[in-house]
Amino acid sequence: MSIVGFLSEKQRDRRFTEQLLSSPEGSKILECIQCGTCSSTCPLSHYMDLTPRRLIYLAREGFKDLVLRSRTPWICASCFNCVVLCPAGIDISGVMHALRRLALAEGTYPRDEVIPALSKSFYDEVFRHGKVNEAKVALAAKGLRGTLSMMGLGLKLWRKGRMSLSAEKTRSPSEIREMLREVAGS
Amino acid sequence: MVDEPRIGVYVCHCGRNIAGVVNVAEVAEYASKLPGVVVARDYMFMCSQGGQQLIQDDIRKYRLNRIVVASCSPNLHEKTFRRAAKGAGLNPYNVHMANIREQVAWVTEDPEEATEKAKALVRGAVERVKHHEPLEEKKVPVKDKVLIVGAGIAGISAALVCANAGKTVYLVEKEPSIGGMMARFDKTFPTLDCASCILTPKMNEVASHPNIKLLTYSEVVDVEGYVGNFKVKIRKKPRYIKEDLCIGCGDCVEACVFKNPRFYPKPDEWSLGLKRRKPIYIPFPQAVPRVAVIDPEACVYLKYGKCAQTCVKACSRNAIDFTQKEEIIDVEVGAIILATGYKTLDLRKLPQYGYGKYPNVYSAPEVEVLLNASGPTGGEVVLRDGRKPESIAIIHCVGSRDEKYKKYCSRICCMAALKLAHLLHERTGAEIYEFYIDMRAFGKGYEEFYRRVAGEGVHLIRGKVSEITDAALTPEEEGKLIVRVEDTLAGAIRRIPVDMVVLMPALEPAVGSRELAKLFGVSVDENSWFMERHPKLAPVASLTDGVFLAGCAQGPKDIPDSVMQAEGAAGQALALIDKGYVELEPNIAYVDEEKCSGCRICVGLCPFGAIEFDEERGKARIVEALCKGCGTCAASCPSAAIQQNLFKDQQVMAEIKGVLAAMRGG
Amino acid sequence: MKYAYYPGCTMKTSYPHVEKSILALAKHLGVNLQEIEDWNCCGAAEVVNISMEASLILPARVLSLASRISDKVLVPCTECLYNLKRTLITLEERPSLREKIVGALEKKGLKWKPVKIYHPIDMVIKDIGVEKIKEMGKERLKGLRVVPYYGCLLTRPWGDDHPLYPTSMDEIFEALGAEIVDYPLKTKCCGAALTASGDERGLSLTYHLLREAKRRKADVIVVPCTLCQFNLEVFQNRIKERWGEDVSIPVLYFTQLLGLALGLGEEELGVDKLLVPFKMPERRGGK
Repeated sequence: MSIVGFLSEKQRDRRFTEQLLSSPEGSKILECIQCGTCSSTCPLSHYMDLTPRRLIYLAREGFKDLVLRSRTPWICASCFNCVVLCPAGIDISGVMHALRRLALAEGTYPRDEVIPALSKSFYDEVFRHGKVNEAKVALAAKGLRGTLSMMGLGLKLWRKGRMSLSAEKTRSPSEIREMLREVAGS
Repeated sequence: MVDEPRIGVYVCHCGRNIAGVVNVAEVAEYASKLPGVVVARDYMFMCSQGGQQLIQDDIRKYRLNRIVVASCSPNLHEKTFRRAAKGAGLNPYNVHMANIREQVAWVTEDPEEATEKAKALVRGAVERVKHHEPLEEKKVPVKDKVLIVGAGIAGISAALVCANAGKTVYLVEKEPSIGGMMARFDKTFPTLDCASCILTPKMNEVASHPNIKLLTYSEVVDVEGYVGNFKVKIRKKPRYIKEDLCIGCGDCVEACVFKNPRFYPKPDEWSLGLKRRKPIYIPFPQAVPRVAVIDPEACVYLKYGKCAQTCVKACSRNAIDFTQKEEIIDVEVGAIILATGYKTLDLRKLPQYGYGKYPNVYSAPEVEVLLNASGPTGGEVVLRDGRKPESIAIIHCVGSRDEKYKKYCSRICCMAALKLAHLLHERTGAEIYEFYIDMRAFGKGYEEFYRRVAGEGVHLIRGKVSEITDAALTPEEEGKLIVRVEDTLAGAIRRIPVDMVVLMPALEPAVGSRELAKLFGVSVDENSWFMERHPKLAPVASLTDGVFLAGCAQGPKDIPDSVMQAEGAAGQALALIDKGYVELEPNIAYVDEEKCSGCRICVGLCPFGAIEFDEERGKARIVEALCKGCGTCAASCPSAAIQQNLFKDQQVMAEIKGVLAAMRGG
Repeated sequence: MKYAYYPGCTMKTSYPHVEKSILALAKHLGVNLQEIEDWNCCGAAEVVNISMEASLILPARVLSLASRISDKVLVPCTECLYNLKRTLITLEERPSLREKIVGALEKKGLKWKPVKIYHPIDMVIKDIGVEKIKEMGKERLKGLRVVPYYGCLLTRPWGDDHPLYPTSMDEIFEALGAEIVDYPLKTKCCGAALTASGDERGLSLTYHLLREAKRRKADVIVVPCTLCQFNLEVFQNRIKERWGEDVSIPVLYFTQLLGLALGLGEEELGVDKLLVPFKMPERRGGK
């Protein structure tokens, strides 16, 4: 997504900025000095449609749609390089997490990224069982074609005892479920 | 109470500063009903001519003998109102201020709460001022000499102004030569003047000025006294050279037993370690005084007691003296100027830039030396690995504007970086890349300089570099230092391979600044810079009377600003001295001999050595001229024998009782 | 020395070979590990994308259960490590969240009591000490060129070591006689979940990491993170296919190489379960 030409004031949504500012991770974004340290240190920034610096800038200005449709939060690998280097002390990785939550809630996340689907199925698995078999969840998120592409590797790992499709469970998954429902409302 | 109190209370609006929150009319109304109060008023600006006139008229009309002004901090206007009272024939110390701006209006949101607080403070002040008595200021003559600490461009500039005004100046410098950081520069921005061409004449003027006593290789070790009358101890380290005999010919240096430059024992201080030096050396060609110095930690004779002493044999003037000892010099001065400068941030604290790991990463001061005609390469830009750079990255804001290091902007780096870009391009023809966050070109001629350097084809890339690495991804990057950056104006990531990296480090106070601040009793700010009395209106005075600040010791500054502040400080010092006397606040302590048990607790506690013990009478005695009114003795005296003017127990207690009574709704 | 031990989900399904080495090493060093009873998932990197509160209650339950066993919990997976630390810090700094989370715990009869969170590296450095390790190791790693690769979450955003230039593993393996390779990428990201899902953008990061280790003539990469172990090891063939460059190099979890250096056996440490086999220096020389 490239932004060329005119950004209409109609695209701005003040409440979106407020929402981000009130999240535990986004409280300091107004202090950003737009130096680009985050983008410079980010190992994946060259794949992003908006660099982390631009994303924070647009979020601050309230361009909700541009921000929540961006790929950037889904490419971020949470390596925290930006967090330890940011001269303004902004929790940039955390901002990415907050933006992911908002994009998932709004349904504006890019459909061809795998992390959104993975997050949803992962949460479902935790909700159901209290524990997670990550390989199973990952395969579910990747769909049939994705699964087939990983088959050879899976087989090799399985032979070494490093791959299992067993369902892991806590003793009483309902306890976890009730706790999640209480604090997260789902 | 000395007499029947007749009190006037004046509540200031301070525009909307106070009246925006506090109901000032209600406070005045409240005050008018307090016992002893004859008149109470509120007024838009008490500090204005009109406000002062109001007080003076009331004093005459109502025969007032006490005044309470409820307004701002006494730091700002205590003098104003004391002067006004004095003008109407009242003793100025019968005035007391209640601070309802900083302590109430600015820190209280709820108007009702603020109004109640203001009433309480006013009532406290009314009760207190009843116990005030007339006091006399003491006039003390001022010593007409000036001490200046630090002989960089700021100290030198201040010294010349004072000396030209006919005052004796003691100029103390801890290094063996004066000149400071500026002596390392080749050119200065924005005019590209040759630094030594403009500095050296001033250094020589200092050396030959009849009014300047130059004390190099020396440090202040003790300061006593007060404004107008400071007693200072200075330690002069031995140079092992007789300064009056040495003519700086350099024969001794030539003759020293160390012959191979690679095995010289010490990194050379002036060139920041870019070359090594012998144990006997002259700091740099234009050094003032041009006198050799022997480093006792490196000299074979001084360390081991055995050496061929080729230096002694080479000196035709018999100037070398291995028996020299350190000297303590006592001086008495009326004013002090601190001009101790800065150092650059230790770049090893930012390992991401590879300083100390990759040889071709340089600090900006090192590049200044490298470009200097008197430097180790005669001004040729040759890298540590012997190559000439074809591409150079200059990185701004290294440790500046960064919560993790220094929050502030170091002010000089943008222009210094542009200057280095120009000089490096001129000397090497290399491609220059500058990485900046914001280009700050605020001074006279700076914007023009920025345009000029931009016009020379320097690549100005807006983006902060996060790391310098040698991990190459492409064949073009092999053997280079790689800068990965977001070109924020393009909104894209770039990787730029270069041969040389120049880091523009943040400035921080010179080594030992905190200790020095303690020694001189001046305050420092959160970053350890010496604190000025007021950031706008008293930028040259420190919070300690008679001590003034100049140059980077007070905060990062370029040369024009350092010189400006230095000459301002010199002006302030001269104004103080030429008045001939100072008036000391009569807030000093005194001993009630009846009560004094002679326990001597106060003698040890007084930070100013102002308490003597009279052995014969077995009583403590306060030396008025030395007492600064800090209150330590009064607070610690177990028999309450020590009282302090303006802070007597009865005054303080009355104030507290007044505040409490108001809070109880009385 | 007694620790509550929190293996985390993937340790059981995908890294039994790593877990073996952790347990064997602990036993060898005389450290008592007691696995937390009925532990649950920490939420990994995914739950926080759904709900902040959910991402806190999961680790909070684990920490609460851990506090029944010891005031120290050992966490070998760095994602779990991060989530546990994040929960501890967030609940400390944000009273409103603490109230909510602690309230939910208490409803289930769980008490909130903060515990110290240790990675096995912390355990070795703080409880055993590099000096002792040196003594025990008898320089068995002499001649081995090791890249200690730290990845992200061991030191960022919280850790005892420098966040970008840590040295804890360097010190340990140097004490064991290894030659530490100057490796400027030691805290660069492996791509985490992006790589693990086979995404080429993530794989490019892993490619650069492996390539640089090869260029600097390393014999082995040692990691403190199970996901790093996975990402760096299992995609080596795919990287060769995609970029045409041989990047094969063994990748061991920290406790595996440390165990070998202290004289434990390959099988005991799960080293035989690696896809890219690793041999100790003296045996490589013997062949």
